Amino acid sequence: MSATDARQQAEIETLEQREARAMLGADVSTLQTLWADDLIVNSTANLIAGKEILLEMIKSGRLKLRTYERRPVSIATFGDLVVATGNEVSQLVAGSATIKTFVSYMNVWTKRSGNWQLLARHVGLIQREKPELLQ
Amino acid sequence: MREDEKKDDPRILVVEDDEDAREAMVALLQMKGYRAVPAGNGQEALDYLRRAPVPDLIILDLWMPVMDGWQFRSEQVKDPRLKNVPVIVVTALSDRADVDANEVIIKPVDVNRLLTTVSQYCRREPTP
Repeated sequence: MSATDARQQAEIETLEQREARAMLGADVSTLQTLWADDLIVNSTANLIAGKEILLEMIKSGRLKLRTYERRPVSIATFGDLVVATGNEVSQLVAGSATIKTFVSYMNVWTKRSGNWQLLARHVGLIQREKPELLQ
Repeated sequence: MREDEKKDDPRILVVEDDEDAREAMVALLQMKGYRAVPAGNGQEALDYLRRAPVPDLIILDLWMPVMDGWQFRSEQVKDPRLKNVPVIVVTALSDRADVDANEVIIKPVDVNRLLTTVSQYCRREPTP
């Protein structure tokens, strides 16, 4: 692996965690920066959504996480394109309950005007637990 | 009824057995100002429709347990109260020939296409 690839991998690993923290904290301004305007997300719901709709769902509280851990397993570099794959465990708030979900994911990051942005994301369901009432 | 719902908001029944897909579609439609109601299969949908006001639109999956989307459509058209309710089928099947519906949207569903199609069948523009 070249020094450039290693540096890019480290950068993306940091961004992967930053983006996960922003999702957990509903930090819309950080997500605005980290997400490409033409972001495409294919979720476990088999819905393809873009940046605008996703931010609207977070702002409105309809997409709200109680916990969120991301564990990248592999980060592959292709010049100004990086593909991160791994798994995530989260607790989604749904009304008065939370739903714990295990997923695998693939995130595609691209470098534009010197900054890395999330361009595409695909999420596959591994397991979903039964809803638990919030304490 | 949700606190932010209005009585004249268009009413949409979402018939889908996959919990993730069903809840996500309902949340999306509610966010856009529709009164979206979930049903887990065709039988649940019929049970709901027989005791509730007629919806403006039905979003229907095809492959479902208990009663699938084809059976639901066959029952729907037999009911004079329900037969004219427009139906958008959402399916992973790529062969649209055997699907009797106003619109067919292939999964994974593009949210923008879904919202555009929904707005064509509901009486007023949803909340922007």
